[in-house]
Amino acid sequence: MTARAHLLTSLVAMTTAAGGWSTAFAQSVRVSGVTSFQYVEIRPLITDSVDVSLVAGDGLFRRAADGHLVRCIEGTAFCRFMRSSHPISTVPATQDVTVSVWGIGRGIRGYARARGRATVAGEDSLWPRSSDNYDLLAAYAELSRRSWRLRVGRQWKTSGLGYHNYDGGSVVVWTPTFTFEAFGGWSLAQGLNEPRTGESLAALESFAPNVRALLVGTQVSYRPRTGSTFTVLYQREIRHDRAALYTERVSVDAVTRTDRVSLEGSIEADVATTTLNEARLRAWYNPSPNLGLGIYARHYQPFFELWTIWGSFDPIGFDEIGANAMWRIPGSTTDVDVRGARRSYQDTGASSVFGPVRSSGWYLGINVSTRVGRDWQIQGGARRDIGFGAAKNDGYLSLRRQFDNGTFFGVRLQAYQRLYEFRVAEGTVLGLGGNGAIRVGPRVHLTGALTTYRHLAGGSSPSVDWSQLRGSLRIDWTLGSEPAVSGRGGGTR
Amino acid sequence: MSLRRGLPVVAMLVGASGVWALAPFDDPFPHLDHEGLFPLCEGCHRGIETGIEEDVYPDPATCTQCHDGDREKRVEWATASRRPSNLVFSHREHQESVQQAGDSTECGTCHQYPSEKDRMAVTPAGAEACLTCHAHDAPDHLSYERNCLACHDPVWEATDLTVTRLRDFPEPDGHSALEFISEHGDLGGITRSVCATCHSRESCERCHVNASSLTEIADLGRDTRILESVRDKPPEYPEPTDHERSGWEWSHSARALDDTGGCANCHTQSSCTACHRDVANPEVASLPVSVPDGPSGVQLETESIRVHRIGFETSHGARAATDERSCSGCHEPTTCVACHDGPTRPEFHVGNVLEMHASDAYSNATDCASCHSTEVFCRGCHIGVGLASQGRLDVAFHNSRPFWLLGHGEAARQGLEGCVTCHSQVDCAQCHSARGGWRVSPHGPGFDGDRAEAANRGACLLCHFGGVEP
Repeated sequence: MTARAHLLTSLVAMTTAAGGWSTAFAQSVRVSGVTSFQYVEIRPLITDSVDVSLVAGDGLFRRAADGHLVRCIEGTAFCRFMRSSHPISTVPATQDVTVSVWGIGRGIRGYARARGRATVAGEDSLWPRSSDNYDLLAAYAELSRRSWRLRVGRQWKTSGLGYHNYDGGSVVVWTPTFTFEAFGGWSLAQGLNEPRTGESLAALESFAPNVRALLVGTQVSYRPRTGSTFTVLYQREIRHDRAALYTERVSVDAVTRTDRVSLEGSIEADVATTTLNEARLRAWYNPSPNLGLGIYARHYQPFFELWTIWGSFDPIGFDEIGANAMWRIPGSTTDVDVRGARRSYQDTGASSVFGPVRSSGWYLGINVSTRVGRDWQIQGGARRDIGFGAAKNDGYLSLRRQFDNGTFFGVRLQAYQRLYEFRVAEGTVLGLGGNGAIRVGPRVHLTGALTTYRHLAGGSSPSVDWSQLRGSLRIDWTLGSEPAVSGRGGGTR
Repeated sequence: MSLRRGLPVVAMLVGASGVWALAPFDDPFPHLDHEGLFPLCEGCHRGIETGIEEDVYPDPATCTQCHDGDREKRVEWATASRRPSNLVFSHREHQESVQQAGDSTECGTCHQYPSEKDRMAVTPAGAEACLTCHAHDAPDHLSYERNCLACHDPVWEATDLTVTRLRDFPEPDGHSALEFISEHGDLGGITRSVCATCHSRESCERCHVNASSLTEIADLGRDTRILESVRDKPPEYPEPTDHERSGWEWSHSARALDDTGGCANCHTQSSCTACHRDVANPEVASLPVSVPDGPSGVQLETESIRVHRIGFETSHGARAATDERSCSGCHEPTTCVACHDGPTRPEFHVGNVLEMHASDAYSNATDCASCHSTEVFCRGCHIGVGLASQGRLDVAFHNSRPFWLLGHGEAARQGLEGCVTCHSQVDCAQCHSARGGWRVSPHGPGFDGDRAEAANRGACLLCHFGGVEP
């Protein structure tokens, strides 16, 4: 079956099944979908070579006549280097269909979301998972009362440990001040919608697990008053033969707010390795309706699942403090958002023969937006992010004409520089693009964007060329009662 | 004695002359011109005393006794009839009750001629006349503290009144003020005894979207005249004071849960579902729905509602983690998955994120792993664009570091999350395995091998022994 056929089949099958079933059995149903296409042009890095006689100098690394940094091994006839190849493109398409059914009985609801993928033009498999044609993201039945909820099927869990789905059941009990939840079932890999034993992981990881895991967890929330909540979650994923853990984690989250002040705190920890993965405290203060001030501090250390060897490499973390201010100029529609942060890494306990790597980083950014009249919006901003591994400068200016019903058209100019992590390459990229959205009737919304980038090579290396074209088109559509949230915005990756 | 029957009102002619509060009196009979001719009111209005309806006004023949064309010119006089009224009043019963009380009244007590000498200067009895004796029941005639039905019929029973007359009904002070509209429900229990004097069910149905479910409104009768008089008046939904409070958009849940019925006075389900997408929510489901020709209910301009501050889409983790129920009040799971598993929403990353995401990834400014599988999504893409290792560990990619392989430890410990987006475990195990290769230990000084083995011995065996699944 061709890719187009896959996509068409997905669309027709999912919509027909959902609509037919729900129409037959439910009083109320909403079927919504998102059909999206991207045009991604990429110039992959490839290995090339040059005759050693054409390269001046000596040593392992030399500079070719055209500026490429090349690697020459003594005694070989060619020096090798990496450069951007000619552009290749792909058009990955995704078809999501969501069905929400209610009115079957008091508090009973069904919900499902399925996804079809295909590459409809260009290089196959260039875009991640584009050859994985079908996914079931969620499919559950729910029975809800004012004080409790029971849910069975493939469902998402939102917690301090992130957002993931699993196959199983959950029960939640609400009291005026407490919420208790217990959940469990077959575990799915975060971001994959399939077990760790699935093909997606196995294709890229030789040591991927081949035994499925069970997920169990419990969560308690205390809500002493509106706006204040304290939540503790514990969950573990264990091989179903109980031979080993894949994860064992706990999270603590707390938020509280008054009219002018809000505080948020979060902790994520790996119980199995007694590692504090993240601790964050954020405060936000509104001294006036037009001004907001925020500060935060956090410690971060990466988490790796226990089936990998990565945790044994003793990754270190960093500490970060940051602040931001948002100001609406009184009497105007102009908003200014300024933010900055500084982070410092812990001691790695390792040495480097090529000199120490950067152990700190900082960020500074500003965004300004204003309206001209009712319909025109101008936005601009600049960022500078200097850090370990990568750095960038970028700025943008956009102009948008807004119409009623979510319709808009805009242009966006962008320029950026970046340093490539642990390799030599530099340059400035300019991007110019347009975006827009239009509502076609009450239930269909189109959003699209097209941007071209031109790499102005500079400095010491012409090895990377980021002159590329990007585009996207998305169609949000709805069938049934209560149209869902319409799509907004637009942009390109 | 019931109040309705025993009102000791002195206004003997009030029933004959009309309802309370009238326009300037246009006397159909020139009483003043006949001053001195009629010593007693009862001479012409005998029926007031006897209760005989035909005798309330004089017969035309009575006039011709003088206006015979000889003594006095002839006049055209058709006997009068009672004016349409919603008053519940019997002169006779009232007189009897007054007498039983040992009191006495005269016609002028209510019809307000200034003195016995000027007693032919009659006026219709107004409500004020009633209150000269009954003022103790309420501070004024139009007070909500009065039982109106003591004197008045419900409007739908006062069928003689025209639409014009209904529109001329006097309005209590402040009745049109927004405060009254907001708070009239708090008056409680007076719908039938007070409101019904002027209002039928149609009056309430002009604004109340839940009119059919409120017993107080259902107690009222229907009246097509009221329907006609309110037909062109749009519903009014003044904003309660607490709704004006800053942040009401996200702090109204307590009141909405505690007083959903109160919300239903003005709001239909569409008010909630404009933002709240949880259509199975029992509170939402309990609200009425709009019906054709019914009141519209409050129409929200949801486009103007900003519930979350700027940047919330990348900083909502703690709130989502602590209070998922609040989130689900507005958002269906689709909202989360649109970004968290969202190849369908590329605009989340604006401005060529493919090229520029490296620094964000290193600083974990946005938690990439909450949406993307590092092993599959990141590495899959990096392979496609030629960045990822595919077995060979030469240093062509890390070309700014001539001795990268020998000295990458510091960078690896500091940015291991970045490493694994290009390298698989096999790459590193080529040197860092105890089973072969360079046998370089990757473990740091604080590594707890026992704990790691207890959690997943299989992971240890990948490098230290062989053949055991992780």
